[in-house]
Amino acid sequence: MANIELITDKDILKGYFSDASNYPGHAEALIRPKSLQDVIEIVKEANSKKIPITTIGNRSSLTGSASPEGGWILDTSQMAKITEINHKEKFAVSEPGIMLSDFKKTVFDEGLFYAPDPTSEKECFFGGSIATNASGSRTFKYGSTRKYVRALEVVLSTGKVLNVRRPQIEKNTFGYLPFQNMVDIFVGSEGTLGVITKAEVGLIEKPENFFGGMVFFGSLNDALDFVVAVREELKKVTPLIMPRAVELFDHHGLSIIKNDSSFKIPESSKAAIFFEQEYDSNVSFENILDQWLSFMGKSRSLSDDTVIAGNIKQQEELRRLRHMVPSHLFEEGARFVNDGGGKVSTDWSVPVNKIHEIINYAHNLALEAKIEEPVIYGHIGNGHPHYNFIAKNSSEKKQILDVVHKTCKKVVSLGGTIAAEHGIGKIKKDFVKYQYPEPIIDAMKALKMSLDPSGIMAPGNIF
Amino acid sequence: MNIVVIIRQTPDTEAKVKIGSDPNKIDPSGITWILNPYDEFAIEKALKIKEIVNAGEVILFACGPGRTEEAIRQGLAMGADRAIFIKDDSLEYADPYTISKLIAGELKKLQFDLVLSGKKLIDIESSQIPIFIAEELNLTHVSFVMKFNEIDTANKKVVCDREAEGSHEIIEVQLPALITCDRGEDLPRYASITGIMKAKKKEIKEVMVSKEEIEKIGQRTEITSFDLPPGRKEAKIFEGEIQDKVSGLLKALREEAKVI
Repeated sequence: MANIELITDKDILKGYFSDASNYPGHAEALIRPKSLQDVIEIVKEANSKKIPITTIGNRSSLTGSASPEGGWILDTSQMAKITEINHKEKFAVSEPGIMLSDFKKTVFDEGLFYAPDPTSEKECFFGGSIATNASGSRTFKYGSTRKYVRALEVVLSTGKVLNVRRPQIEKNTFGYLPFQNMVDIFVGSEGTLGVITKAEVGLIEKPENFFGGMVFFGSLNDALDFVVAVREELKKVTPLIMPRAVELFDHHGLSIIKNDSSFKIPESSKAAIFFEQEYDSNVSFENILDQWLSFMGKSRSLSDDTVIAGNIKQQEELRRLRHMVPSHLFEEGARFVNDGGGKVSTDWSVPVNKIHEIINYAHNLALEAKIEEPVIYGHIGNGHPHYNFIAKNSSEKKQILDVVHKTCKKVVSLGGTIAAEHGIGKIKKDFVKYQYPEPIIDAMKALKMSLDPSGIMAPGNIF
Repeated sequence: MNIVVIIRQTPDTEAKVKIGSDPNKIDPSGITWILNPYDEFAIEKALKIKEIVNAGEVILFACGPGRTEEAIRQGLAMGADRAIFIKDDSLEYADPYTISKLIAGELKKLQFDLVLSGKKLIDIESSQIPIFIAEELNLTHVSFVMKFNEIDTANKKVVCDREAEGSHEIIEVQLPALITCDRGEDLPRYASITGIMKAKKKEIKEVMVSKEEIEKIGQRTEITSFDLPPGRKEAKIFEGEIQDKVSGLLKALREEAKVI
């Protein structure tokens, strides 16, 4: 540790005590390793003294997973080099501390495409997106980060460096399934098993063209019917439409973006679906729109009002507006944190055919509890709407959390998950018990203890 | 009120321009072509005026190579009624004078009250074409207009607001007139899906010009070569302990940059 600076300046440290969730943390020092060797030295030193380490990216976590519970904060920002972009085999290798959008732009400028697109891609690190198995609107077509991680270099708490690679074999009967593919153990492990110091991810050909659009509906229910119809359409051999993103704005979400959008939101609109569709140069843009029109004709959409973002500027605006909803709510919630309130956001998802049932259930719970209506937005195409409540004080927060707990129990009974993309961190630990039986949670804990016997890696996360 | 909007197609602002094998041309590979953003503002203003006066037509007017049709379709999808297109691939690098003479020649055949265009082209940063046209047609012109405060069809005049340095000038103009548009408050509308489908059927009247006609105009300016701006100097990074970094930076600011 001779050449590694331990930053203990209280004013600097204070800025690192919390992440985007506002979960309060504390720590004794901040360390910024520049290399794999630095990480090994830091981890060995911490392990010998039983000092907890919380590895952080750009701290965009919404669950407190980057808020430290004592010990050292390991900031990966100085390890930000892309070390290889391989055109022939279509992969890239990078250190964790590069901003995800910068990583994506670099490979894009080289004619390749990294598909995962978390909403916070301009605010999160490449490494953080792997540690949380991040996903985004285009997950609808491309799947989440996990699918693209081919290999990882991980420093375990003992200082041992583990190089794991996704197996290429088609058959394997040896070992319990989670262990057959060791990459998957670390993807989404929220820093609890080791420090990811390098990752190799798969890339794909850049889509030739795409356009975005907003379809408006007279009710939330009509929008949900439309989403179910999209999924049904995709089961066909030659579907009329093949969107890569299907995102929801409820009427509150539409109110948030109304004054900032350069398109007109119809007065009668109570919900909208934002979509993106790719197309090749050999297909006419108008033909695809024709197919969208025929498809929309079968739904109760306000199809004549559908706006199309045909140029880059408008496509970026639609994505900016989509991002604006959580940003607005984050600021709104922050106003009430000092009074014990704040934003309460859900991250559950259900199979798409259960989406009406769960939304009605959650709506009735909120009515019974007489709490203010949440804003519902997000990845509805994956059965994954975010519910954002704003609690003005601690008693409102308690009531809201009660509703969220009941909803999560129902979500699991419908075959869903309590945490589709934000992870568990420190804020959602109370929900873990709904999803997995105790012996399975114990098995996860045992895995952590075997890889991190001193329990120094990201204490407080997940368990 | 009939409004003509003169439009051009330009490379996207994000396009990485490369110089072609011919040094007075750019390499078109990898370039996304868009409707010149200031012309898009002009279309939006024209559509707004049409909505207010509830009469007349918005006619797009373009002069350029075949690919320009894409920009025309975009304008039609926004709501313009029809378009006139002087189409010739040899006009790709025609100078502003030639283009304006060609457009003015065709405009003389039209009945119009107002001609709008963007305040400049974002590729060659030129504002010449609309002004040349105004001159050629002996039209009053106002440049850099942010918004229209008044549309008076009875007295055939408009009142417009143009941004001057640190102030706004409110100008009353008798029609017909030519006005170049700045962004203003109204952002260009999105095309609706039905708008795009309808645009497919809207008329684009193609006008052919002969090589002789173009040569007869006689270009006044010629692009002899393009040069990319010089690359930025590499950043200097000071290594070592914080004290060394600070004293290194101070020394460089004093002795190399000579700014302190």
